[in-house]
Amino acid sequence: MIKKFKRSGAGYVMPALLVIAVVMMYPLVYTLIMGFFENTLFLETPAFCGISQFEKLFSDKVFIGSIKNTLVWTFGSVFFQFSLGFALALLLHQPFVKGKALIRILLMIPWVTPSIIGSAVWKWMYNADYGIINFLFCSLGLIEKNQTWLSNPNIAMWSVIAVNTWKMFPFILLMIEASLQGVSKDLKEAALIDGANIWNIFKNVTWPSIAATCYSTILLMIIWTLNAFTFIYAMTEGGPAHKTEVMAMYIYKKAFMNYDFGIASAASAVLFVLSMAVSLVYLYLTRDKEGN
Amino acid sequence: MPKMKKSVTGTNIIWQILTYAILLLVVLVAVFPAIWMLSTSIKLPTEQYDIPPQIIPDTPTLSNYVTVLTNTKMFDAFVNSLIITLSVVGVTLFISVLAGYGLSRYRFRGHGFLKVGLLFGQMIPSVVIIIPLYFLASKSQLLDTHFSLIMADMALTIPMGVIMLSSFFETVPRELEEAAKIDGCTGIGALFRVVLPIAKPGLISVTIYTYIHAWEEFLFALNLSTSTKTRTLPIAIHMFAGEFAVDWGATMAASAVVAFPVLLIFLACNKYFVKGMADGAVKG
Repeated sequence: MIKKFKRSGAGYVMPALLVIAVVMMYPLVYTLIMGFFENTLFLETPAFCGISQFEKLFSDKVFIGSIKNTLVWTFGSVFFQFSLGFALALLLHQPFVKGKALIRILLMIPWVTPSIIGSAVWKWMYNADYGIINFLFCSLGLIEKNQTWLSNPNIAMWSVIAVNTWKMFPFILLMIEASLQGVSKDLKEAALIDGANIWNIFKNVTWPSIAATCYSTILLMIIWTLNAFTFIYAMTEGGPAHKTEVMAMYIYKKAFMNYDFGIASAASAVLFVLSMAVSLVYLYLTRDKEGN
Repeated sequence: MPKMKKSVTGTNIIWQILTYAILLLVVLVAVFPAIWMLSTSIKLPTEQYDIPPQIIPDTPTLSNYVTVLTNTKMFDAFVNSLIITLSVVGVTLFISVLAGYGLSRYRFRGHGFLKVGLLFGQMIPSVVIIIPLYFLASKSQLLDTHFSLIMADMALTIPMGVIMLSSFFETVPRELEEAAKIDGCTGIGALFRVVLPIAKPGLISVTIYTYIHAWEEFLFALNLSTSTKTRTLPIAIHMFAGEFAVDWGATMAASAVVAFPVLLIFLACNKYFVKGMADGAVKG
């Protein structure tokens, strides 16, 4: 029995399995179940309450708002990250560009800068009275007077999205640039000899071989952005007037500021279902490529 | 033929200049916050609020760094971050090497399930698991210990580590280990003596990935650490920024101190890293 287990190789994955069970599976299942239990500081033990917490959640305007904010935050961020990363990858990939290695390293700096540091620096740059952004934009004539980038309800979300875009577009750029290197040069040349123009070559040769990478990168970004927390917590704490309160922020506030763990768990379950839906699409796409 | 090639690569001079101009602009935007952080960190309070702002101040000073480095809370947080990050990197590497090797060399029951589970694992929102982790830690008297922070961080690092290494091991030829096994090595022995030395690039990219994530982890530390005993740098700097709300010079100096180790490691090993990320994250 032991010998059979040893030969199967399952022993190698046991430590990993143990960690995953304790810090991921258990907490996940616990949260999903706790969505159906009332659990506040005032209760000794959590009490089963059916779907009442979900009903409460969906009649809470702040929660509904947080779903909307999450969608704006996620799709806004990913749209800019991807468009920027994609366009720049194409630019950087051109054969005549020199110093590619250096450009890549410099572009990765935002990505390796810890989010909390990025938040602190951007908060200073966004400063209403002395921030460099107000100064630059005023000098360039882009704005007429100083803006309160993080406390104006109409623009706060976009200010945070800009920071998130700054941090993540390099990652997309690198992924796409790496996959561009796999595009067949022979095919490109053959198409050229046949008289195809740049757009045709892009559409028929380049795109088919990078499409899979693009789709899976987009989905990965959607999942990561759905779950992102640090930028919003550190720059706006969900304010002003809940305008940047994404679901992750809502859950955090309910759990660790209001100590209503039941509602927080129910909201977590909703967020989890959302990210799983995206994850399934991601898995479906990556599965085709590997063929297993 | 050379003439035709020109049109596809767009060697047109205006286009070249435009390309370089755009790339330069983007690189500037990407690195500017780092430059501005360093610039503010060497300014005296009197110069921080100058309009127009200057990149290099008239009287550069290191006093902000002195403020940060002599702040005992920041120092303790640095030590905590170091202990936690190094432990997470060490344990993640060990566990991921074993699991990555097992996944790439053996087919056992639940093999496919585990692979899919790992991919899912990467996608579980941290905020979804922090509530139960908090309860688990407080019930088992592990709240505010390095151990609980190390364990929690591994929820972020193990899935990616295993995925990256198993796809890396797939590229290492099996013949080498088989030869070692014939010479009397055990399975584990072959792994550590033969496979690992070849897998250096994979190990380095997992190390950097893990290091960056553990070093900057915020949400778990915010809740699992309740005192300066285990407080990590990201939390300390967030509090420091609150305490020194108007002193941007000190806040930026503290930020530079936190960002520096990550940037250094990244710059030293970036060539392995980019490839490892591309293999692990997108190819799955």
